[in-house]
Amino acid sequence: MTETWYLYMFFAAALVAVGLYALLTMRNIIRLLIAVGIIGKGISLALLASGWAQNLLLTAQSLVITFIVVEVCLVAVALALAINAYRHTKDLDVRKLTRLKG
Amino acid sequence: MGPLEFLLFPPVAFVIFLGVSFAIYGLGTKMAPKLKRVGGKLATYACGENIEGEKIQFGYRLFFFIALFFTIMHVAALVVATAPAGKFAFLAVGYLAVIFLAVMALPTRS
Amino acid sequence: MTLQTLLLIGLIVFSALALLSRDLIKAAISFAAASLFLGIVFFRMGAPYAGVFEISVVAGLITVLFILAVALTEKKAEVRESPKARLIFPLFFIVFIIIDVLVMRGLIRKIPTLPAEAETGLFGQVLWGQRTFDLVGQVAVILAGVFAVLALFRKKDLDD
Repeated sequence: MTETWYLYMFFAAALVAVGLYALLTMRNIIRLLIAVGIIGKGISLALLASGWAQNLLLTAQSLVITFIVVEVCLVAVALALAINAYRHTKDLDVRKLTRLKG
Repeated sequence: MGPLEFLLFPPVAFVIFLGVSFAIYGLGTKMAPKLKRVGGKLATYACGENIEGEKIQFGYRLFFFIALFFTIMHVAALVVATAPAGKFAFLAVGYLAVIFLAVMALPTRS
Repeated sequence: MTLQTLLLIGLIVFSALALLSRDLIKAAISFAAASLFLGIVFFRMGAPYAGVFEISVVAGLITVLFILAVALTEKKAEVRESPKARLIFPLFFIVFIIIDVLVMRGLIRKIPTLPAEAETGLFGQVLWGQRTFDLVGQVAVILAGVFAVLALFRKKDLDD
C-alpha cells in the first residue's frame, strides 16, 4: 500500500517540479499556461493517490472533478487574456508585457 | 475481464475510435483524386483560379465564445451525468439553471 | 504495478515534451497525450469518473482551447525561448529525481492523516450528497469565467 502511494507521490512531485521549472524559465505565455496545466496534473495525481491510500477514493474523485472544472475556467480566462495581450503588443513574450503605462 | 468488457474499457475504446477516425481519414484520402500542385490550387480560394487575395479579419471573438459555450456545456453535461436518482435530482436542476444563466449571458452580452 | 509505472513515466515524458517542443501545436498535442496517460492511471486506480473527466475535459477541451489560442495568435509571434532553459532542463530534472528519491520516502511517513468515516454508497451520492458545496463552487467559478471572458472581449474592441 505505502509502496504504491510512494510511487504516485514521487511522480506527482516530479510533475510539479517540471511545471515550476518551465514557469521560471520560459517566456511564451501559452507555454506558461501549459506549465500551469502540468502542475495541475501533478496536484490531481497527488489528491487521488492520497484518497486511494486512505480508502477515501470517492471523496478524492469528487475533489479532482471540482479541480478539473476550475482548471477549465482558469485556462479559458487566461487564454482570453493572452489573446488580448497579443492584440495589444503583437507579441506573446511575457517579458514584453511590462511596457504598461502607469 | 471478458472480451466485451475489455473493448468497452474507456481507454481501449478511445484508442479504437482514434483508429476508426484515422481509418476514415485514410479512406477519404485514398478515394480522393491525386493532388496536382498547379497554379493557385493550394490557395484558400479553390477552383485553380489565381485571384488577388484580400486579408480578412478573423472573427476570433465569436470563435472564442463558441468554444467557451461548448466547453461549459460539455463540463455541465459530464457533472450532471453523475447525479444519482432521488432527492438530489433537484440539485441537478439548480446546477443546470445556473449553467443556463451563464450560457445565456454569452449571446446577449456579446 | 509495472504497467502503472510505465504509464507514469510516459506521463512525465509527454509533459516534458509539451514544455520543450518548439512548435506550440505539438506542445498542445503532447499535453493531451500526457492527460491521456494520467486518465489511464486514474482508471487503473479504480477511479473511473476522475479518469473520464481527465481524458474528456483536459485531453479534449483544454487542448482545443490551446490550439484555438495558437491559431488566433499569428505564426510570427513565435517567441524565442532562451536556449539555456532547454540545456539546463535535463540536469535540473536528474538532480530533482535524486532529491525526490532521497526525501520522499521519509516525507510520506510524516503526512498526518485526519480521521475520516468510511465512505458508503455510489460516487454520485458522495459528490451530490456530501460535497454539495463543491458544486456551488463549480457553478460560481463557471459564472465568473464567463463574465471574465465577456469583459475581456468587449464589443467596442471591434472598432480598433
